[in-house]
Amino acid sequence: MRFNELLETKEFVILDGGMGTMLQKNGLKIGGVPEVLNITRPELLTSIHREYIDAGADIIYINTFGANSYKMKETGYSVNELVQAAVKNAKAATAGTQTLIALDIGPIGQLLEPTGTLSFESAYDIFKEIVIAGKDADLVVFETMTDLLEIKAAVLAAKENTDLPIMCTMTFERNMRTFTGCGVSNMALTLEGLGADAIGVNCSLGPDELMPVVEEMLRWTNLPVIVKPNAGLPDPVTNEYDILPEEFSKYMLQMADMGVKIFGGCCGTTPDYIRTLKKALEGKKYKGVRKQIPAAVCSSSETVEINQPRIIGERINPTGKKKFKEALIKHDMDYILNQAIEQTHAGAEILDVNVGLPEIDEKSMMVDSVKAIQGITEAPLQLDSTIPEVLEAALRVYCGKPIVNSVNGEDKSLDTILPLVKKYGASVVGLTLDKDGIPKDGDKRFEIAKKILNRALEYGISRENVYIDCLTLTASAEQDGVVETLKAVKRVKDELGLKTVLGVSNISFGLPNRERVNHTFLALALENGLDLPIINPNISSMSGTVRAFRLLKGYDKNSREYIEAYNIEQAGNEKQTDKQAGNSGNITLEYAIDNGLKNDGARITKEMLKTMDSMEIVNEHLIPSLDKAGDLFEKGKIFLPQLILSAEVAQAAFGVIKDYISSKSQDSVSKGIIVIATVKGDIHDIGKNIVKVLLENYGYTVIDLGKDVDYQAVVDAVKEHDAKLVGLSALMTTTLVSMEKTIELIHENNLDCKIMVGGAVLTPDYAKQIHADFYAKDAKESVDIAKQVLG
Amino acid sequence: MEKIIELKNINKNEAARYLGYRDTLPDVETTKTILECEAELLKVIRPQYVYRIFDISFEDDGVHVLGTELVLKGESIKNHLSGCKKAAIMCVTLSGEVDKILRTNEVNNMLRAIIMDALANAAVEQVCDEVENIIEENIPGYCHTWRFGVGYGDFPLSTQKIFLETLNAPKQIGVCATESCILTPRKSVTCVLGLSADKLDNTEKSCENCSMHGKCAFSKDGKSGCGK
Repeated sequence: MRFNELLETKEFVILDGGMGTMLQKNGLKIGGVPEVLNITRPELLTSIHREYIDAGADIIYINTFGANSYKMKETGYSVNELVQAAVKNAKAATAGTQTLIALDIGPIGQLLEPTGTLSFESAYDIFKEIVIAGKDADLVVFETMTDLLEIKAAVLAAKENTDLPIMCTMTFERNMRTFTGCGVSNMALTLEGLGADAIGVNCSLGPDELMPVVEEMLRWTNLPVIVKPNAGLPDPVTNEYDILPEEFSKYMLQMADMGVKIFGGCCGTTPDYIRTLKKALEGKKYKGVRKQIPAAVCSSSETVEINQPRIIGERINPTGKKKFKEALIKHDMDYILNQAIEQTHAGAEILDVNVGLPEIDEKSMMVDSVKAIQGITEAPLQLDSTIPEVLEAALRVYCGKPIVNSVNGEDKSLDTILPLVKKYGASVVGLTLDKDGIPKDGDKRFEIAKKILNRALEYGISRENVYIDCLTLTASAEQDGVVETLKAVKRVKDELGLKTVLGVSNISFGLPNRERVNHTFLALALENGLDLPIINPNISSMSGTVRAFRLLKGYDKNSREYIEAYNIEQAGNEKQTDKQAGNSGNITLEYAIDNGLKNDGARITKEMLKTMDSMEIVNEHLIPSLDKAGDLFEKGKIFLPQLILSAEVAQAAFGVIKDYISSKSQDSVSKGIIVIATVKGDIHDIGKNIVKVLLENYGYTVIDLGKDVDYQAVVDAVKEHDAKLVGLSALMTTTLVSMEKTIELIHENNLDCKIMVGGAVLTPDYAKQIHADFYAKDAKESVDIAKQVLG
Repeated sequence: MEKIIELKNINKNEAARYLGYRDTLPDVETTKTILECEAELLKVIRPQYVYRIFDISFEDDGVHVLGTELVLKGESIKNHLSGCKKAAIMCVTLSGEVDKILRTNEVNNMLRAIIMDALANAAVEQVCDEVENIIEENIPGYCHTWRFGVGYGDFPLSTQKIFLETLNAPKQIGVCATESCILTPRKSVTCVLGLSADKLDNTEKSCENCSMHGKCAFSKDGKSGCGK
């Protein structure tokens, strides 16, 4: 029998119960490696499997939960040996029965980036090794997962390397989230999109407490739903679980009534639980119903339902932005991240990400950007590129269900992009243009929309995942086109029932007072059925129009969101004005830096630039003030927060100067390039980041390689930027070795640069011993060293 | 039934000490920022913990935690547990959302980032204190040593992986270790408490019994240590 036949022929599918529970009863020590028993005690595994088969399990999970190369490293056995032994033991037990064998795969045991150091790509490789080793099983199950990205890597590894059906279960806590913050809808949208065959929950809680999680899951998926709870909660002293088989089954029956299809037990459950469960389900009918899944996109922790207009922020895009282009060339990720943070604070609910620039490797930049942005914001992303390879690379590493921007009505575009959208379970923006360009006539655009929809349906993409962009033309050039766009939006919405998306700002190109035209057009488009306006949310009249529209149309119940957005904003504005008014006398830049007045610092710098040379401001005002703050810090008169605050004022002042210089196309103010990194294996980077802020404010260009940086990456960066100074930080005794190795490699390459090191466990002696040129005890000293080396 | 730990506030004096304030209090503006940061952090902190109590035996290769694969190696942990028949091993975390808020602030507001970092360090110690109380309640009649962290003194950091497995910590509370034995999420702690029915003389941590005695940043300027 195959998995899909099992689903079709049986009202309910029964899984087995706990394995660890059974092994510990049979002598496995706590903290011992269960998978080794596959080889050392095969008869034990076979007999446990038999007990579950006798109890009524249709599918048994084999003893491979932790059989990955990371966890098995010290066992003396290979992944292949352990997995194949497990399959063999299970086959011995299932011989002559209809029971299926599931290759059981749990989390790797290391967290993925950015919280941990394991990359998505390495996680994929680890899972690939196991699924290939276990390809003789009847299906694969990924269970007890808490990180949506990790289970995505797992599903892709299974899909791309085997034909096995896939079950996925994740572990939720009482707050309806996993430990990493993944929500139920996020899991369902993502994994159904990726092509899992059944999804559900296991472990962590007892069946009673899982009830709300299961209810939510049923709302978000049409796949068969799995429930495999613990036998209640463990006692911390005795480790005994508190729910007995009868009570366990009682709750499971309630879940059968809710629409669950597949049942089993996790920690603390035994063959008794399965037997009682099987009996209880006898004669009951499966209650699953096909339902309409809400149109939505998500990250791991945020689901944006497109049931009302939602703002897509357009600012992560270099088109027409000099500073953004520079940031891309310098690989200045902080710049991009700040664009993300600013937009979400301003009200963006989804962020468009476009990092295309001819001078750079767009694919790797896109992958780095998606990873970094997802590390600091919860907003779902719209992946925006004209190059299919870039889109696919981004789709792989994206955690959640994204939007692909975009496909158009040309066959070539449709047949290249839509398969990617299907494979990775995304939504897609369809532009209503084709080889003849954008039709003037709105009805013709509607026809293209229809073509895009039909092709998407042929590829198996459901209609709630197709968003149509009827394209905004410039009103000054093609005034008649405005109503055509609006007409097309309305028809697509009403007649095809699709969600619509529109880049708004283009409407006012070439006109004065563009903002006025933009938000008026935005209001018109919203009234005609626009769901996803792509706008600059930082302009308050734009995000404000969407918020007001949602209020007026009754989406924003009791005007709650509107009031929340503007009450806070108003209070904030008043506060700021007060502060400025109080200080608006004749304060100096020095005063602003001493007192941490960021806005004043920037304002005064602007004033000073009218009469003073930029370098004079830097050398005569900014740096002496910072020196003074550094000096006071050293003497213990001020403390780290004040030092950082002064540095931030200086940073604001520097920002003004940099803008000024770039607008005048003068030479840059850089006093030299410094490469900094937290060494391989170490993820404590706050100290390094403090150093970065200070160095930048002294006018140095800092190439920040981040944390957990490969030795070679440091060498490459020094070469590429011809840096004369490198700063390395490490916080753990275990990572000092990496520091030493990085220094060795720099020396082996005969690079003409000095090396400074710092970090909590480092001492001047140790720094000398590993051949660093300087030891910096704190951020202030790193500046002194930079002055000494670079001037 | 396990007890849920909720933090209602964070020890701000402790956080200020981590930020370098010793004889002085933070100024008014900084204090205001500390309060704002505290409120923001409390929204995302989700204390999780797991502990188990085991019998221990002292062998040549270290202190064996009976019924498990865990062996506690090194002179310092051996001395620390001397006189104890049992030990509680524990792991606590503030959970991963704290990492995210720190990351975000490191990008766009370094001041808040360093303050939150200090607050989070204080918070994780508070959660440890709470777990200590829970352990006390669950094993009446025993007194316990102060918390001895994995990696402290000559107790090898490489114990981290098996330590976590023994507690089933990855599955129960989502704490793992990296290849370099760093705990993730970052604001997590693993430690050991010695338990004895008899009186112990190392129930409180002090400068004299600290492995950083004479070396730590707090005592470098000749003043008394970290205050613990």
